[in-house]
Amino acid sequence: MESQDKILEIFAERFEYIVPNRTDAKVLFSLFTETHKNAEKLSYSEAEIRELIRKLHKEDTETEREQRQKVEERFQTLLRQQFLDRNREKRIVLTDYSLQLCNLFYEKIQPLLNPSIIEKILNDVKTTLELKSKNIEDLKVWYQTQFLKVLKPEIANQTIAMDFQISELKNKLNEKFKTMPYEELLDYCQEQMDIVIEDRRKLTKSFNGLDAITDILAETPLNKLDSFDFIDIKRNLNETLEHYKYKLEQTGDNITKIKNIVRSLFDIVSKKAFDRKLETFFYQVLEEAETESKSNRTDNEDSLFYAVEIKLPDFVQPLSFIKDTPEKFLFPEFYESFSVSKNQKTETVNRNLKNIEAAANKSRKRQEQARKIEGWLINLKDQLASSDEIDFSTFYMEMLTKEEDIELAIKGTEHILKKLRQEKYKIETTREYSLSGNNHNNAIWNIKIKKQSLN
Amino acid sequence: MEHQDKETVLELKYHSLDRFSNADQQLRSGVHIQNYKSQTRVFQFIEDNFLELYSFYERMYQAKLSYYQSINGKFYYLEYFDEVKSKLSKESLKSKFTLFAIFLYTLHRVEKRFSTSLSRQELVEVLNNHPKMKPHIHRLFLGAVKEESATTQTTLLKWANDSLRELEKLGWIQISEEDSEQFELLPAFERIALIYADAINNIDEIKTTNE
Repeated sequence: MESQDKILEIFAERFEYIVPNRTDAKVLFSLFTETHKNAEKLSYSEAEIRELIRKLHKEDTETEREQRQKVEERFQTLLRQQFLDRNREKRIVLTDYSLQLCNLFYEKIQPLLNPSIIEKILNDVKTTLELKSKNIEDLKVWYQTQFLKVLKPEIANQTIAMDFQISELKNKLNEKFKTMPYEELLDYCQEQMDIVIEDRRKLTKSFNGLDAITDILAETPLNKLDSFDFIDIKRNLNETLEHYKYKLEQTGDNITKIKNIVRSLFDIVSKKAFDRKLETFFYQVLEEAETESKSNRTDNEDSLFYAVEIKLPDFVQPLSFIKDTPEKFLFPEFYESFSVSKNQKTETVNRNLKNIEAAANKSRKRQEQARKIEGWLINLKDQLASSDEIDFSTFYMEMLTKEEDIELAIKGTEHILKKLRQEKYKIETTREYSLSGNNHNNAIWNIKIKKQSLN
Repeated sequence: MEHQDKETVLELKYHSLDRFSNADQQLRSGVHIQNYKSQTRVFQFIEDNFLELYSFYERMYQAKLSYYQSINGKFYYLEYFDEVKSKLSKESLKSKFTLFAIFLYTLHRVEKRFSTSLSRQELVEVLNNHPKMKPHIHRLFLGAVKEESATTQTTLLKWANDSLRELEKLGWIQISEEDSEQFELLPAFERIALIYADAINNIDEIKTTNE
């Protein structure tokens, strides 16, 4: 384990409800790990325990006397609450209860991430499953002895280890952000994230192998029988596998969260030299860039805008990328499902004739629209002759409903309003709009047309 | 039947030819591949077969299958070997899209503090209101600083929209499927910093020379 202090902190945090005092928890787990390192050391003198408590109980403001009192207090509490006990030689030992508690935690942190273990176990389990999947009694034994006792604990261990690795990474990064110089920190974060991401990738790969178990069960002759036992085993097994796959997916989410923390912490660090230069670079580009051509509008576009080309300064090299057309690709048959390239010259004479015909139809349609629009203009002017003010949005809706041609209605509006402006009618547009009754995606600003005399 | 003069051009370790064709088409269309949503499977395929693919592109096209690990993630792309022309052709982005890419990258790092999710409206607001940017942007795209109107809005929005479409084709950004107003900057967007690293790092010298 990388840092004993950190592990003690985690232990104290996890078992806070059982061992409320953090120093007590740390003392217990320290003694436990000590025993693990040195199997012969099973008991301790009182002085050793007091020294350990003194080391783990850190309060700078206390005087020597106060500290001695605290140490004694903690020592007696540990004995009273039966976390510690005295053996026949009056030496201090961990009680069974403490040992169980520590063991529980130790098992959680002990598994080291090792995806290849799963692959190896999986191979064995698969072989035995293939042999045992022909008979329901054999399968039941396999499920109890191989799946529940061998494979499942290992999958669980690896998932826990992955989780532990991620929470350790979070702690490590938090620590380093406070102390490490920026440049080193960048490399450090990168390196640490790489390790975790790579481990998770390997683990995901070995987890993918678990599908083989489901496949074997799907193909076994037992699958065709109405055996409740088989169905039960299959369901439990699939649920277990799904559960751990889900847990693994969650580790991916946790990695993403860390990435976001890293990103935001980067930001907290004062503006970096590169960003200052980037800002200067951007404004220098803006300052030296020039407009190459400009025209006020192009009539074939839907709305008005300035069409601009930009010339960038020489120090900005063009952004060039490899871009090849699909027909130059090596194995054309692979690309059959992809869209046809615009560059493919498949046009034939017939196709050209078809294009000409389409263009002629389009032209005829435009002329027809122009005639109708002129008709609507005359209609509106007639209405204006007998009325001082016309609500154009109502007129527009009528035009749209009768003609059932949205293109005509829009073009008509543009043309009619232009003509009326030229003839000095006053056109007032409000910020309210009317919706088309038939077509709810279509709306028009409320426009009032008033005669010049009223202006 | 085996032929003695047969040569294996590509031997893949994992996955199917389908995935190869998909990866190949994207790489040769200038797309940057990263571990992101719809690209995940292709990314994984390249990860698993990197050495085989590297040698394939080198031998077949004198092109280099490159990768870069940014803080946001790793991405792959095809590139020329230094000074060696590949059998694959290149295309350049229009200058106005290049300018937009530089603007967006600066916005992402400097103004938006590394936020990777942005909206089109946010972009236009910056272009119209940022005291330092506005005069330059209006000069270039509108002729002079102009009051906000439907025409000026459309011009700037059109520049942003057209550019975003180009950057999406490169796999640098992803327009949200649920809300086309929103888009996300992908790890491969860091490529722009790689391309202009020299110019950015030496900008003080460039400035002095140009003055």
